[in-house]
Amino acid sequence: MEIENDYEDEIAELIGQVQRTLGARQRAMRTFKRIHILKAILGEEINARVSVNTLPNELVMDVFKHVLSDVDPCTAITLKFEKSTRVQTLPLLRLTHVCRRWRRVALANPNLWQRIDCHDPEQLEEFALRRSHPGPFSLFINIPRYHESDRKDTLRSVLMHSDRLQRLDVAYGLTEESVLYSWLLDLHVPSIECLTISGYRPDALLTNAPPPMIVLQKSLFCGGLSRLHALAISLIPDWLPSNPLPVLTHLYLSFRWDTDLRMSPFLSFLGSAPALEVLHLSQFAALYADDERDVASAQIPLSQLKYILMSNQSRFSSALALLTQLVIPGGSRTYIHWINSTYNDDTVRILPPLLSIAKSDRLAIHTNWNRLQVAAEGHDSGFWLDGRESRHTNTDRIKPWLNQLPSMFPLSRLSHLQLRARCPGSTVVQVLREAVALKTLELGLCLYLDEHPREDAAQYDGGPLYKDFDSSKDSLVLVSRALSEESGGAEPVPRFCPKLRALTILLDSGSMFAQVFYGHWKDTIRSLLLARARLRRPILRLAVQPIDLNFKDRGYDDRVEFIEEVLADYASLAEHVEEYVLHDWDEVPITFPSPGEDWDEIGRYWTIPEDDRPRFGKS
Amino acid sequence: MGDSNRLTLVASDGGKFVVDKEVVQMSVLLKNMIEDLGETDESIPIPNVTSPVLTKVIEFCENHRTDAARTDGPNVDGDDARMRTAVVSDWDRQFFDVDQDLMFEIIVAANYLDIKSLVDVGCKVVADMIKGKSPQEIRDLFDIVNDFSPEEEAALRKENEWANDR
Repeated sequence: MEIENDYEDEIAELIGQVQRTLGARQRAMRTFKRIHILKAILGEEINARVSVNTLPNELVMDVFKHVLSDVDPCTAITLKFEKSTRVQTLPLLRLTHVCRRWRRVALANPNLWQRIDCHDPEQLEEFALRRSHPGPFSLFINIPRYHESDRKDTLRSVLMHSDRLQRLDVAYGLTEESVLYSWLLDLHVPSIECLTISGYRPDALLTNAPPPMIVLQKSLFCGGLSRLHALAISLIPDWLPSNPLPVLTHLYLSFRWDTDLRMSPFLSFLGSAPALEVLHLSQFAALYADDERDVASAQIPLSQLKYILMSNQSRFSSALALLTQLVIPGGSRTYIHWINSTYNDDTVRILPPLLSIAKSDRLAIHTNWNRLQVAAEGHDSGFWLDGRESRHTNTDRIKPWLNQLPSMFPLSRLSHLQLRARCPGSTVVQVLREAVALKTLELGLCLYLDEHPREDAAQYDGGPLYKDFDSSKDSLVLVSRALSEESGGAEPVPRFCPKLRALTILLDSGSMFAQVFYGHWKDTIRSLLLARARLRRPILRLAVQPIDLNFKDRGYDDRVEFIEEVLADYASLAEHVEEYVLHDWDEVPITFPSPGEDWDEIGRYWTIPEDDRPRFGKS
Repeated sequence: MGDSNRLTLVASDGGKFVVDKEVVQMSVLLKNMIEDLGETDESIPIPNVTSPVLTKVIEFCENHRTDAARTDGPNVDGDDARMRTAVVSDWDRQFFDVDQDLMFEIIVAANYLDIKSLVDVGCKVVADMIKGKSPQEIRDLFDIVNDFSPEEEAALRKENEWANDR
């Protein structure tokens, strides 16, 4: 018994010690906590006295907005599925982690938290929903970055607060389509102003799925998209929304190359968006014959349209078919990029009468074997075409197309013509005959093309022998003679282009000819200048590039000497004009015109993928 | 009667500055005061601004007196657009190449005097100092101490994990 009592005393003593230790620990913890609180209060007091914190809250907010001004979510959203795409949240969080005051200022301003990149439900709840409350918010959801198990929770959270959703950017990968669609179709988003959906583009060669037929789906988003200003869908699945889109100004649609697009539902869709200002169609797909038949009478008025782009290897035939079905202002800027590839036998077509061309007074046409670039610009209009024939085609379709220039463009209105084309001199003369108001002419001439058609390119590139030279077949000679031709009457004037004052000539020499030819061409230009002066319509400004070579073509010492001799010879033309520019072999005397209008508007809500950007003369 | 195109500003420490009316009218506050006072020889006290700060403010206004965007111009695009387009010239950067105390006193004075262009430029200069820096680097820059409690620090760490999670 005594032994038991001893243990009991000892246990009681130990328990007492433990309780005293725990009590001491609790007191120490309370002290530590008080110290931390005091430290925080003291730190806050110190921070209140540092110079940056003498700024009032509204100026601290201004500083924050400047810091975040580079973190523009619009430019972060590229209309192409990329796992790495993010809307930067870290710069904002860093500001809130500096001190308590900065954090209070940031948290008290919901508009700082309107555009957040979220990738888990907890984060979505905290950042996008709580901190932006009660203001509107925008979300970028890159679905593959969510864990599979989180997706439903995330979607539910968004659905519960979607009445405040102002902008939604969704990116989805290969396997998330069904989740995405069911969510999107059920979303109630009365405040939404911008919606972008960027999907994974399946490899055309690897997919066995039949091409989707695009139809107008039943009304999406519970029927309400009355505030939607901007809509981008890339790629279009098998539906288009059937909702009225009364204030939609920006529309971007990217098609699968093999999409079975029917014109009727597509035109109906465009008809639901009468306020469109920017219509951007990427890889605008093929139309089928039955569609062309049944839309013959249906024209869609888009009276506010400022830009229409059919980019990234769109079908030329579809582009023209659509243009003829739309009633759009003459001032709309039109851009078409087409390609005739192995999988796409679409070819360059003769342009129908288009309002965006009708008022042009400046025309630029560049061709380079299989590429065709056109810019037709007026005071408030513009048309750009950039296309390429297949490298494998044996038929030159561009040269016949050039023969139709008088029927496609208002040549008599032109004051400025830039023609750098692989076409015979006779084609150039045909154009100049119509261009009665021309003041500036920039010509890139393929010499001797009249005599040597393209099939004989090998012989042509070597150049004719001087003894065989026939001036009636030479392009420059033909053009110069035309421009020197007199009209009849008592006071003769030039029959061609009487107002012409500025002339640029680029002699596209390919491989170089013998020097004696350059002398002949120089004499031809001199004769032209003298003839125009005699007719009292002198050329005032002349620019000439006698030799145009690739850098690699120049690499022989004898060529260097040759080029210098030719340039020295051509310098003598200066005495016949007021202003003379002699271009060296590596200069670019004729540059494709840059459009005057600000095309940034087409990327106002998003970043256009590289393939979809208008190229305007870039190779 | 003195020159009607000039007036005298008196800083909080008694320093007097005779300046063109056109220059001081970049300040909405002073412009309104001048309109209320009409033609007068009276000095205008600026009680919240010391002489060194007022000297700098006047220097800025004199340099920017010919700027197209004046205080009375329409603000069609709103504050956010104005903020995005605020341009900081080399001269402006040189102007703000002063110690931090003076820099922030200038911005506060510009805010008091309601000189929007000076406030915008000042805030943008401060923002440029902050951009790309970590919280600790920002603290070091402005002599700020970390005043978060351990619990708050834990919350910040979680936010960082969210933001950094790919």
